[in-house]
Amino acid sequence: MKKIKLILILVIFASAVMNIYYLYELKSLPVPKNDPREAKYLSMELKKRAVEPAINMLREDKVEEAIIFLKDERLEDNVFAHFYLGLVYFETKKEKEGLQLIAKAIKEEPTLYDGNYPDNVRRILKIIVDKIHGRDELREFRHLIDSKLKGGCG
Amino acid sequence: MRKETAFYLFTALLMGIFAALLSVYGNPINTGICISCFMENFSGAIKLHQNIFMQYIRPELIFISIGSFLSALIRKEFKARISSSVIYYFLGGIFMIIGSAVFIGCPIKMMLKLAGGDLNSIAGILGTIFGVWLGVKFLKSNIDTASFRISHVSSSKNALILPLTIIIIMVIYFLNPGLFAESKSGAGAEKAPLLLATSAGLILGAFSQYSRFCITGSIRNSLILKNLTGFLALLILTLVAMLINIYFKRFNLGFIGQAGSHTSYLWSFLAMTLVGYIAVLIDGCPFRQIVKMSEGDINAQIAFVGMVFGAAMVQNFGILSDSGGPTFFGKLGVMIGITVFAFLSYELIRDEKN
Repeated sequence: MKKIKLILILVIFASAVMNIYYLYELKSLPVPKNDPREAKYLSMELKKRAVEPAINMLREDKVEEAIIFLKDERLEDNVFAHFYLGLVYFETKKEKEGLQLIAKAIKEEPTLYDGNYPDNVRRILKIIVDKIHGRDELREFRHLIDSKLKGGCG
Repeated sequence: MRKETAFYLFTALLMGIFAALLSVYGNPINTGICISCFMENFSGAIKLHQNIFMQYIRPELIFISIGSFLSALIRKEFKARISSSVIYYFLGGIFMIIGSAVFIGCPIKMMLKLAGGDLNSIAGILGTIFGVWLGVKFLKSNIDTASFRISHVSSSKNALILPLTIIIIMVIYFLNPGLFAESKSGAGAEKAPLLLATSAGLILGAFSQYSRFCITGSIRNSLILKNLTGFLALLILTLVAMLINIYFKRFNLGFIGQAGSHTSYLWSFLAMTLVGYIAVLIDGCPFRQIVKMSEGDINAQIAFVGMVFGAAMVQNFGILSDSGGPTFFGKLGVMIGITVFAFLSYELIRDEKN
């Protein structure tokens, strides 16, 4: 019994010394600096590129063509397509329908309103919030967008 | 005024001050202290979930534990203890975090939201009061609370494992933070300066260990003992945080456009009813579990593990609500929680009759 205890004490002592050594080494251990946002931003960039033609159409006032483009089933999973389609509807008197699409987009993809993402849509969201201010029937959308812009958990 | 009462109220005052300041100096809005949010950040930091917006070690959380641990050691109150119903604590930890995630905030954040002018939090406050009332009724009326009472005092060494693990995690973080996941955007990236976060955690942990401060405990004591100290403590916490918010122009009274808050009042009520009820059964809100865990309560340590597990679940399964309201899985989580705890409560009554 005494022998076992002695062995255990030796093991404890040796492993404790090694732990301290490894903790010391840990300080200088190189860790690959991966920013998980890079992959996310890159995938967002590709999605944004896919809807660029529609954005250009909107700039040239070709609203109908832009809607047809954004409704293309190949853009079914493109959060930018949902957002811009929602924006077009919002600006063309289909406010509620538009806001529903915008709400769906920002709920699905927080990167859309991430202040650090270069192509974020925060500026557009702020304009929308101002436009629907005081509109009681749209207050759930104002709450959602305003709250998302303010940040915090959830 | 008795010394204990004065300390309890003073802890509430400190909680209000630090929680408001932490938010002013970097933590997410109305989230100076929020154990459920911190748990989600912590579980993300140790890579239990991959939401890149919710990963940060949250030194406040760890230093609350260290502060309580040191206070318990100094005051010779560090004692290992365990009851026969550890599984209740594990499930309690999980479902308190799920309930808090559906409401968006633990009971402390619930008060801080009100202090920030967010009137949506009233539904949560009413839910918590109702949950605590139900729990108190349940405990007072019939029930075998023996399963929750300490039935076994274990060796103190057993109870040291988790507090020491947490200290080691913090040491590793200080030595090489790159080993942990850390958000660069979103709520996880909103953080108070390290010195403020650590000292706030340390002080709040130590004072809460001494005073046994707890949000749901405050409500419970007001309901059972008709002792207004708890009510007064919550009032002090809220008013102090509110004054600081007003001073820093962060007070925004209303329902609409509140950060990290939704307007689904029924779900806020139900979610916090679940949290309040569980908190009475397992003797403490999420914050109190951290403090108890650090003074050797192995039940609370199991609850802590449950909370970490629950926090990872909340993120991995889309349980966390957003300002649009609760998600499908959030509602499901609350309903499962209510079913599980109704069943466990029923079993306790039946066991007692047998």
